[in-house]
Amino acid sequence: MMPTGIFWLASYPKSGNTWLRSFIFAMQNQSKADFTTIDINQLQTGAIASSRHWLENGLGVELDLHSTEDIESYRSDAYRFIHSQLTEPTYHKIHDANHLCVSGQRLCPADACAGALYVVRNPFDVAISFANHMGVSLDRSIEMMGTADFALLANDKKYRPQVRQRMGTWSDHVTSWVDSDLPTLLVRYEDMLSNSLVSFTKVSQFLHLPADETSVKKAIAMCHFNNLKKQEDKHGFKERPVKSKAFFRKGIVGDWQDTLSQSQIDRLIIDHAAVMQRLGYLDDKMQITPLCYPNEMCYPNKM
Amino acid sequence: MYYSLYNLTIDSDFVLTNLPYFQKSHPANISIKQVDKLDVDVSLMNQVGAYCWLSSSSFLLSIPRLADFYVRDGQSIAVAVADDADMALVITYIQGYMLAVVMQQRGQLVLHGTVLQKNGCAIAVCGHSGSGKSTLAATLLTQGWQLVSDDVCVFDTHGKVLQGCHALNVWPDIAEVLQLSEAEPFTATMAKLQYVPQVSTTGNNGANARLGAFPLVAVYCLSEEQDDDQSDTLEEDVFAGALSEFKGMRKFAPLKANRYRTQFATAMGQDALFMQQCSAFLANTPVYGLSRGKAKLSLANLHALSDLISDSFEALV
Amino acid sequence: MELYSQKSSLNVAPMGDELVMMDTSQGQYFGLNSLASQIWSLLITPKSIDDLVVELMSIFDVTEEECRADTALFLQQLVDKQLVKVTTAA
Repeated sequence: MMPTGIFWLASYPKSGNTWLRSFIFAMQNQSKADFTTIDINQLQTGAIASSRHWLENGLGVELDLHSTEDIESYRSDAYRFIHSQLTEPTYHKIHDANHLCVSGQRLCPADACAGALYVVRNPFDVAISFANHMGVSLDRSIEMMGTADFALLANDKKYRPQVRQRMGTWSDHVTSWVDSDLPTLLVRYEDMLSNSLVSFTKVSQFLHLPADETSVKKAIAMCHFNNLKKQEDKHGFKERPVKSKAFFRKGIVGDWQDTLSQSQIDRLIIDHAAVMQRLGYLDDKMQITPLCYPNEMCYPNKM
Repeated sequence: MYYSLYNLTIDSDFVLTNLPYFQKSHPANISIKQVDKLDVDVSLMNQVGAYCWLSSSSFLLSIPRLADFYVRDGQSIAVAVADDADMALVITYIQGYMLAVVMQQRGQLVLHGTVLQKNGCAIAVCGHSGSGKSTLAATLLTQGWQLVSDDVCVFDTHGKVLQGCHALNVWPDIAEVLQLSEAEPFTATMAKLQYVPQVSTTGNNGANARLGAFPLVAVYCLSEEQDDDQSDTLEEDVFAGALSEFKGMRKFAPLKANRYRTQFATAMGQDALFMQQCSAFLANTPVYGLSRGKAKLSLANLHALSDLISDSFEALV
Repeated sequence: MELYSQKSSLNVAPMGDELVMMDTSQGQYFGLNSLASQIWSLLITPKSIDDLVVELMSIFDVTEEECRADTALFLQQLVDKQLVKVTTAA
């Protein structure tokens, strides 16, 4: 029986979520005759998990009247209800860590979704991309990635379309998703680049999208990085915060070598060694593995 | 205590705020009772939200650690309050959301909008949270408009909009820009502040204000912010807004989108009635879309937006 | 000969000289502009395309060919969207 309901597309920011959603969108729209490129401003996978609008409709409360803490305590109930009403798979981006809530259950519990696809990228590249996205220095970005109580949109003095998203450290974020009891697929950004067909086929299978070679190859080609970048240059990307100069910066692996100082590299390793080893970014001698270095210019159409 | 709201009398166990009140005189239209526990059979209702069930004549909202609200037949609200609940928040729910549901159950048209009047003529500024309607309303209040009702636009059976509570909820940053020094927190936890504007009793406001019902001259529908927008502030020197008119049959879609809790109203079986009400009351009322652009939050831009509305209003009256 | 008439399960509401319609059986909304609304109002009793053309020509200054062509097109749209009842005259 085909699973229905919420599939979370989870990732720390700047780890390949948009690319993943472009792929899903391409998969869902392949049959349209005149469809050859993705409009990055129309990625109609489902609402982001932290969307106030989606949460308000799923709960029935007046969300503006409630505190940040109350809202957080309601979220898993909202997801459980929404999930129970869905009759087909829907895909929702989420940047929150799947942290424990005051209730004792996780933000995204197992009975409130069909599964989670977690995309991870080496923290060196994430640190740089994150700094650019948030409009902060590299040191600040690395510090945020290492801060246990770091949260996005924590300020409630003004209206925001999203609620607070607690991230934890980058390591906490990873473990909160991969160690949960949800059906989970873990995908590395680096594999999406260097081993596209295999990675995206696994993604399609997990998300119950067509997983035959032809469809997967076609969808990959449609969301080739250069196409996404060209779109952004032409149309802008509505998800890009004004502070950052471009959302699709480089997309390559290994940019960090030219940009991070030795002490910044060391800081990231100190903060995240255990998870990096688990994910294959560090070997058991604490050396950075080739996965973090480009072995050649890897673009998505190289399969 | 008895209160008057939407030209109805309310007999309430709870102390309501910013509403005309008087001593008990005759049976009230609506009763609001505090109970220890609700006795509701949800199997007879549709669940429409994680905390919400309804049928065409009953509505239950059960908010953990706050209260259960049960609204029936457009006549009664029963409330069971949790221990240590924030009472100001319970009252806010009763006065806003629950009384709006009462009006919908009574078959009256309710839009999701803030209503203002000038010289006895009203406009409705509609939109969901984040659309900027309370911000725009607050700006208009500093420019000589009077508040009719916040967040809820209730019509009587003749198509006039009814006087609601005399308070507006605004975000702190807006209150600061507009220098609304009287805006204060109303509940312990709510981020928004409550602003109670002065009520003017002079001049042309008199007759309609005394009757508590105003002819609606125009509806302005604000378009919403995108859900994925994580940006902090916005670009300089971007246009502050543009008005476009929806004519004839094209009014219907924005009106339906701006109906109060529109999906719930559909689940209550009110779609056919809603269509008739739009036709009866709004066929000759201009309905505009107001897109805000991505203007930076500044006094100048707020005034530019509110001027668009005021100018359009002046051309109509 | 085919006769067209308004389907009775529709909820219809005028918005100025246009119409909004809700078909509860399909759960869909439709809008008719001013001209379409006028033609629609003529279908309150079953009419053939010939009947309609005669009536419309008395209201509008248009050639018979044009009128017949436009009316046929409009009736086809109504049929496609399941907004009319079609019966066959004896």
